[in-house]
Amino acid sequence: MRIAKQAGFYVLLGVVLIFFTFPLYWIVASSFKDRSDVISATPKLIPFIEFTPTTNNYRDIFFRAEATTGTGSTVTASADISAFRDRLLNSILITGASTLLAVFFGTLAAYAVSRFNIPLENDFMFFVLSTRMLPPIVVLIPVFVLFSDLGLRDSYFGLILLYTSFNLPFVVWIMKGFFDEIPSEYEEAAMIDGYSRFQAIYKIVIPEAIPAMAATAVFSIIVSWNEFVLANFLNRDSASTVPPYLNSIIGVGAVEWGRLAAAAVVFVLPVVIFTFLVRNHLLRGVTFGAVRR
Amino acid sequence: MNTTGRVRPRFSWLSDHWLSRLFISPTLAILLFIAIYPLIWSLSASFTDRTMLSKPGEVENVAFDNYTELLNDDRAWERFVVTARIVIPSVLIELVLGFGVAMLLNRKFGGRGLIMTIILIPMMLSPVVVALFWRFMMQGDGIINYYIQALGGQPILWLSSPGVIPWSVVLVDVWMWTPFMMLIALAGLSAVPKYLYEAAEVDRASAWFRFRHITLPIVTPLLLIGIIFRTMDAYKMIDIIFVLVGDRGGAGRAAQTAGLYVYDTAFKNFNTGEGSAYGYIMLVVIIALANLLIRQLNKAKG
Amino acid sequence: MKILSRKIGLLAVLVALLGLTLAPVGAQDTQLSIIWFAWPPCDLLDTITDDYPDAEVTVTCVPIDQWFDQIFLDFAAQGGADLPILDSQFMGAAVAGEHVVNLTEWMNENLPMDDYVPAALTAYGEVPTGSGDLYAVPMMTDTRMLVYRTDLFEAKSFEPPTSWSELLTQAQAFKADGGNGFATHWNPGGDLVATTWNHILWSFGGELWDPETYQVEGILNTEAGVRAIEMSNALWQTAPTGAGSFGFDEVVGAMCNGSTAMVEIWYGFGGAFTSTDSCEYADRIGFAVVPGEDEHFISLGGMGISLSKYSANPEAALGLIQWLQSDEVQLRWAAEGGFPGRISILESDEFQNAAAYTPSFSEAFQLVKDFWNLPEYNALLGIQQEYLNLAITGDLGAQEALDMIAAEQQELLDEAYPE
Repeated sequence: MRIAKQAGFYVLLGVVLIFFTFPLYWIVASSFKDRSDVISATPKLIPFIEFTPTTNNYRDIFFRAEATTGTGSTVTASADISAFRDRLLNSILITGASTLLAVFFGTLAAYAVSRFNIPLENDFMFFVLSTRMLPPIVVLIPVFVLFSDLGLRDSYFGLILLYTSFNLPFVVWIMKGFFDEIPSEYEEAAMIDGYSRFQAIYKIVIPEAIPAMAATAVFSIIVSWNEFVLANFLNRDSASTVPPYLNSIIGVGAVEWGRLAAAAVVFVLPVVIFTFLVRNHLLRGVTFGAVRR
Repeated sequence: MNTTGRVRPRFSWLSDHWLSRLFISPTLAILLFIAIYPLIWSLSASFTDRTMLSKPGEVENVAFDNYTELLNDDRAWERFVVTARIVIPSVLIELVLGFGVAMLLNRKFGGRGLIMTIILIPMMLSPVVVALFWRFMMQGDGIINYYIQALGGQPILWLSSPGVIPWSVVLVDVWMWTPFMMLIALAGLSAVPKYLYEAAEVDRASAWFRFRHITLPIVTPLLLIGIIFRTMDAYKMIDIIFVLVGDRGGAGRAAQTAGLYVYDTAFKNFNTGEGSAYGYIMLVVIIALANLLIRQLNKAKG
Repeated sequence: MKILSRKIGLLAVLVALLGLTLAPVGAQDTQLSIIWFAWPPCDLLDTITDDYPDAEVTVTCVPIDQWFDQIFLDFAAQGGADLPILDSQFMGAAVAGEHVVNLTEWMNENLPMDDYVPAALTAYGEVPTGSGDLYAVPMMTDTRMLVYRTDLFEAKSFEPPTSWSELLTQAQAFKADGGNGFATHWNPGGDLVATTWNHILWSFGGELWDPETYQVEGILNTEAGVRAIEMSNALWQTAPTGAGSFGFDEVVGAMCNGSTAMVEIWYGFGGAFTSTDSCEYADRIGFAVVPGEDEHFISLGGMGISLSKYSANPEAALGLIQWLQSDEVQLRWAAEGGFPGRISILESDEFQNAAAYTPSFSEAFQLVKDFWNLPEYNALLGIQQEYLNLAITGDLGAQEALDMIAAEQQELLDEAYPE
């Protein structure tokens, strides 16, 4: 019976893994193929047996971007050279800053709403939520105009501010939901023992909240990292990020699959690495268990 | 260390009252700044006949004309039905699948950190890239149908049959966003104290009992928050559909959601006024829906 | 806490200043800018304009789905590139919004007008149609081409078809053999399916509308239209599975992976079929002129370059256009992958020898025809795209589809132009 349960567990896990990883494998494999291998009529899955892997795609996105014109002559797409490297750095800076700000401010606000008596608390929470409801397409024009007037276009600050505002609602709601689950008796006990509010938060609450903070951080990073519409229209000439560049590789119709896959792989790597580094925080099962309601 | 039993804040002038204001202000300030202007701008635009071609001074107030026109347009209402047909199955499947996977990952086994990270990757990829590759795989004679036929089945018209198209969109959305619900569920599961499980085992409670009376009540609030956010995002989503089946939602506009319709109106037809009006109607709908879900949330928190 | 947030605020300000200083600094030369969408001809333009002696030219190649959004957003902000390159269908909106300059006089004085293919001049720049007012200079011409497998044709002793009926017979023969006969981009998004069908309609003697009276009903939904849909539907049946959602990439793929004997697509994609690295069957591919039937028309593609009303250097910008249209630059453009609008250049050796698909281009371009050039373009197109796609894939009857298109387009036009 035990063995059946164990086996069942692994089978289930296996099916789930296949569903999620097959397309991932396809993308990674494509990044090592020539275009003709990607679009071949029979799918070519196994490297070296069904197709010869190549590193040309990776080389192209980092060092050289060439376009083949109709006559077969190659022109170097001058706008693209080193564009990827610069944009990658910009993305890291903008995403990092906006995530830090969002998690920091959002957690504070969530704590306050959960623990203190805030007037119009429910309205505040709803307002926070509502800022995420309007489709970006609708706000594109006013934000474009606003940022133009304030000189915030093509700047790091503008996009950092914008992304922070995108991520705050999620952080606030998740952290508040989380704090609501943790009884306030802990902090109160600590404060009776002489800790200040700050110390109580720092020593008791934060360690408890790490899984939730890690989850919100991961999600905020993903949102900022991949944001495309506003990054494309607001930061076109400088402080530009990677997503619009990914779009340009797509080209018109005849998609550069190999290069796109390579760019996608490289672009997702920092996020994967970050998540892997915090994986234990995300998975932390139990917390502390002594006092309970 | 003070042992007189009185709470002494470190900075005596920073009482809880001021602290609460301090903690809230940055969030409030940022959101007010970024959110208010677009909301007001769009609202006022929705009352005009403004287009992207309008010159200043040419824009006229048309009061509620945009709204009445849209509310009387069958096509506009249909867009909401299409939206529901895509959003509801997506969120439900993501909930069940995400929570299920989180439960699977909740027990200790070797390599679970790595597996969790891998399962999170679909969510980390750029949506446009994801949609492009799925579109490629969903071709009539693409990889998915290739294996279906190898197993003896009939090829499915994933992207060209109006009946199947909405489900193809759901499939891609589920692939991409189930990890999100999984992440939330994991965070929720981390809040369940182990000693409760231990106590239940001592009492020889069944696994179902443990799940129903210990796990679920604590995780549900967080799951509901996940549902709220996922619903809001799926509701607005257009880039996956755009790439999968085209900017008009594919054959018979089977996947032309409200969001895509706004895009078509505001950016392709250049009709900013009408587009803003439709955007506001969308806003009203999602506010109502969010309210419903929040009420559920408050009930779950007891 | 306050100290920390103050530090972060300071950091943010510093970063902002950094961001501002990294913005491009104006050079001493005149600065001119062009905006187009990202495809090889845009990169070619970028390379060529590097050699322009009288100014520093920046060419921005925007991803195609933001092409118009970006240009019209720039118009709304009264700024943007000096020389936007707009698809002909959006010229109507650009002119209506008074965002582009009337170039008729300048062109008559500075360009060899007789040398241009008349259809290119009117289609890319004349708004409204028939008025004689030109708002764009032909920059990149384009039309449809037939791409076919030379080895498969040889095996059956086929020659490139000279009529749609012959094409259909050949396609059906290939399908009967177990392969696929013909494919093109029947997707209902953008202008994809319309540009595959309009010329079939015209070649069968039909019309989309009457430009004099703005009449659609009775003009579009006639017998010629039905026959044209039936032809497309029959062709679709010889295509790979799921071809109803084919976009450009799938069409290129269908030819390059060897699964289909013939495809029809824009000449602008010619480069996708030339190298075996990206296209496995490149060494067995030939190019031909798209056939006609009762008459012979081919859909027009391509675009012209316009002068933005908001340009800070209109004279200098016009000078750039003149340089681009000069013989020397045009020959280079033709030789390296661009498509010219001037007859003498089309007939030149440089162009004829540029690639395997260029010889058929000059013949094809004499047969071009375009559709409506109005601000309501997108709405009209949406109606046609939806029903046409359903009719071609057999989900809607031909007559029914045409009737619905005609009725809805008529309603739209009557509302926009009550006269």
